[in-house]
Amino acid sequence: MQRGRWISRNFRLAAVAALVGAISLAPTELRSADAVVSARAIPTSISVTAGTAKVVAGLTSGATATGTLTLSAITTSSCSASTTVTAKATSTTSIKVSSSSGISVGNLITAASGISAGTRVTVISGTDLTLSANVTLAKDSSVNFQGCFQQFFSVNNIGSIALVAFSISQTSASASPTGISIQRCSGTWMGGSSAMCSGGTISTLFTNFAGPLATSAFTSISGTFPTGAQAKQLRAVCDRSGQTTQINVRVSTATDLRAGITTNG
Amino acid sequence: MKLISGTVLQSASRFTVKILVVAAATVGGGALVSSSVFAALTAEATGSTSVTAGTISWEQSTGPTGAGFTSGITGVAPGDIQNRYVNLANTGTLDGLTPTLTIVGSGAAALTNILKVNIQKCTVAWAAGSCSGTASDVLGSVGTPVLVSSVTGSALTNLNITSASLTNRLKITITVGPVTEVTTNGVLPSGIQGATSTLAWTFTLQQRAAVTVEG
Repeated sequence: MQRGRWISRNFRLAAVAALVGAISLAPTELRSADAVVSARAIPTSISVTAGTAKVVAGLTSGATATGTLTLSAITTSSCSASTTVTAKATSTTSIKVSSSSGISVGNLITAASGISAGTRVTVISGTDLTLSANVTLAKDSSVNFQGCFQQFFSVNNIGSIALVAFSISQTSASASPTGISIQRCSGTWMGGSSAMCSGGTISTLFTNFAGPLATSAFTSISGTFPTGAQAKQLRAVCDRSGQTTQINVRVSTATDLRAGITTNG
Repeated sequence: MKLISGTVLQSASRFTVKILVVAAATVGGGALVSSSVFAALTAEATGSTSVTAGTISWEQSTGPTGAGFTSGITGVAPGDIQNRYVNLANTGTLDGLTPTLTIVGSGAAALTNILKVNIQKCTVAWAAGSCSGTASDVLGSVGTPVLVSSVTGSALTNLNITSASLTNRLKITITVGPVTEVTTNGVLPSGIQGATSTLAWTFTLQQRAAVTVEG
């Protein structure tokens, strides 16, 4: 019994001593061969900001307002014609003129007397004209025609990326048969009431596009359109005064941006 | 008396045994965990040996052209390429191993996701974007840049990584990939236009493999 207690007591003592020895003699740090060493260059960063590609349509070359442009009440005429009546007309919509050159459907017709304001040409058949209201004219009376009612507007590049193209569409409220055409000038529009295209030719993007509220497909206009500048001056024109149309323009990053450039910096 | 003497002797004997047990256990316990480490302690040699750890230092600095990473990139369009020039060198005393690059993009994810990168090294200084020496690909290639978003611990090749080796003269080319966004009537869509992405670059170099030196 006594021997058993002696053995137990010494066994506990031996165990404690073994732990003390293990702790005091154990290594306190890893050897260098156990560590993995690496170096990292000081992390650095660079910011990348994308430019913007956007155009707007406005009445002036400095317009920047976003949204649809509405061209309303287009009444400025830029073309005219004059001729004479070859037969007397009394309270009728049909007249015969000596020449129909320069006269278009939708033209306003005026005379010294006998024609109500706002009367238009509705049909042209040779030198026979059909009008929108009755007129009373003596033979050989002079009659004048006004057409080419126009409104200039501008498409401006307000983005930060130069463009090589943009697209344009119009929604017209014009009634058939007359509509509104959108035209471009390869040179420079003379502006105002002039339809002159200086140093270039006029081409029509939408031919006599008529509503009501018909929307055309987008048509692309190519060229060189730097940032912060007017991309193109265009003209809406119709043979009937007081018409309204809406202009929408757009740019696609896939097709309308300048070619990529390489910069060393 | 014999009995008393026997008792005294027995007590003394027990005390001696205790001492021996403690001493043996103490030495034995320590020996269990450190026999290999302290094997040399049994040697008789005297003197000291100094051990100095080597260094590995992977230093990045601005290259001879431009302002390196400190020059931000603005107004880019799809298809644009921006080059930045930096130097990278192991200025430590240990040779390097397995150089890698990690790029972490933050900000506009849509923009980050179309950015691509390739890195070239030139044996001489880059001049106006050209290498008059020998150029080699470090990451990707001119014709096949890699997406920035995929550069995570990506291996870099052809770098000088030994200690005190030649400086790596790098041209980092960032390419803006294609994207289709349509802006109508001046109203920007939600996308990359006008957005900013910040790219954080970390070049890493591991130490060479451990070596055994007889000396």
